[in-house]
Amino acid sequence: MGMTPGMLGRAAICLLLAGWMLPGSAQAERTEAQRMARWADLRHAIFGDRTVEDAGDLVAIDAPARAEDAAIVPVAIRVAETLAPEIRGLYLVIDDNPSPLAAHFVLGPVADSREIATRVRIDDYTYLHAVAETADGRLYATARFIKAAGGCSAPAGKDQALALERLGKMKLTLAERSRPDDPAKVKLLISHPNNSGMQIDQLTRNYIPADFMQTLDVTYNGQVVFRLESDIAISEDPSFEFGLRPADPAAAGVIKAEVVDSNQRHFSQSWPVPAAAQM
Amino acid sequence: LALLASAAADARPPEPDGYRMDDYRAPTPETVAGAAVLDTEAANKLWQIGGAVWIDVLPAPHRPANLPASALWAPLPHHDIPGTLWLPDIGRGSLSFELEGYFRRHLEAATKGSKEAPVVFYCLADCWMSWNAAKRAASWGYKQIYWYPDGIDGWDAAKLPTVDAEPVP
Repeated sequence: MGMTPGMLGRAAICLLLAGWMLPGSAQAERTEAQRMARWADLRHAIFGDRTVEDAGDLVAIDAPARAEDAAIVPVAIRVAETLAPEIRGLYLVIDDNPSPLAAHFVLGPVADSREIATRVRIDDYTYLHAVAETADGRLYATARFIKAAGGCSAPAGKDQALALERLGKMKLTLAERSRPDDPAKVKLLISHPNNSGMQIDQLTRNYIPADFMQTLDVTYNGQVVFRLESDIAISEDPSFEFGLRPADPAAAGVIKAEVVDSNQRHFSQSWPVPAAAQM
Repeated sequence: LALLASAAADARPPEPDGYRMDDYRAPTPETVAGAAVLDTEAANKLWQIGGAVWIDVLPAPHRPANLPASALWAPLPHHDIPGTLWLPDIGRGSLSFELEGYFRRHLEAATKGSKEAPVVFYCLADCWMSWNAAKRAASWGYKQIYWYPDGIDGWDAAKLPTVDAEPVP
């Protein structure tokens, strides 16, 4: 963009292009300094004056360098074995999305905090930040750059009438445990259009009103696995992969998922989890 | 050689009869029916002279009404050529009743009801939305429509002045 050093900082941010609604936007590249300033602003908005440490190798983001489909970008947050037991919260920030805080997971006692994955909408070439929060309030951040654009306004992948018919239906898949003590790997898929409010209805030519999952509570035998607070950045048909560490892997149990969306609809479903030895 | 040259020129698609309905970020034609095309130099000259209506048609982020008050809403700032009216979405291929009314109303007000007033449409480079908007305004009988296809990308590349912009509600 031909910025001179004197122009950097807040003023420079104001000169940025906002081609964010359009798929495949290829506007002038923002400078690294502008991106750093954006993160500084967001970090302050989310964490206030708290210290946010560089996570180094302790936290990692797994995501494609270039997304095939900006409306469904797979993103996983990984926490190192050494730090994982201390982690109680995970934040996923998509810096240049209009609603940057994509997900905040609050992990409970039976969560496996080493990895959690979902799919998100990404609106423009941007940094992703993952921040892990320890029980005593330390924050560890890591960043990853991703090339994707137009995710928030991309047309819904599914027919809206059909999507409403399946609304709130969930599917849960349990991976087999190779050893009884291993955490159970769980994949949860929720039927919900999770409309961002930025998609055009091809028939009426008006914007489809935003309609999105606000919270997802996952429990195991009544104990919290995680609570997710999210909004429009989570992709249509929200999907989550996470680990579960039952207190007693030899006992069977029940996993339950409860969703509340922006229209205050409530959905919930339960699934039996067989004892590890039987798997 | 002549063949090669014509192949390169053909990278720009021919002008379609109707409006572009989707896939807006793609190479645009050289021309648009009923409007004159401005390169950055010509656009800057027209801007220096003053008196033209400048309209940016790029869609704008709008905060979902049901986003909780506590949610972080922080769209990236938007900038425009100084004096621009930012009328988001009016460059779509097909306009809803409300959107067409919004377009007509603001165009009429900005031109003070004169179909002879100069009006420039732009957005980003390789964006059909400004092409659509210029074509539509011309079809309404506006006689002095300009299309600036390089848009804010061309303007920025030439390091010309810009201002922060908010969409017209």
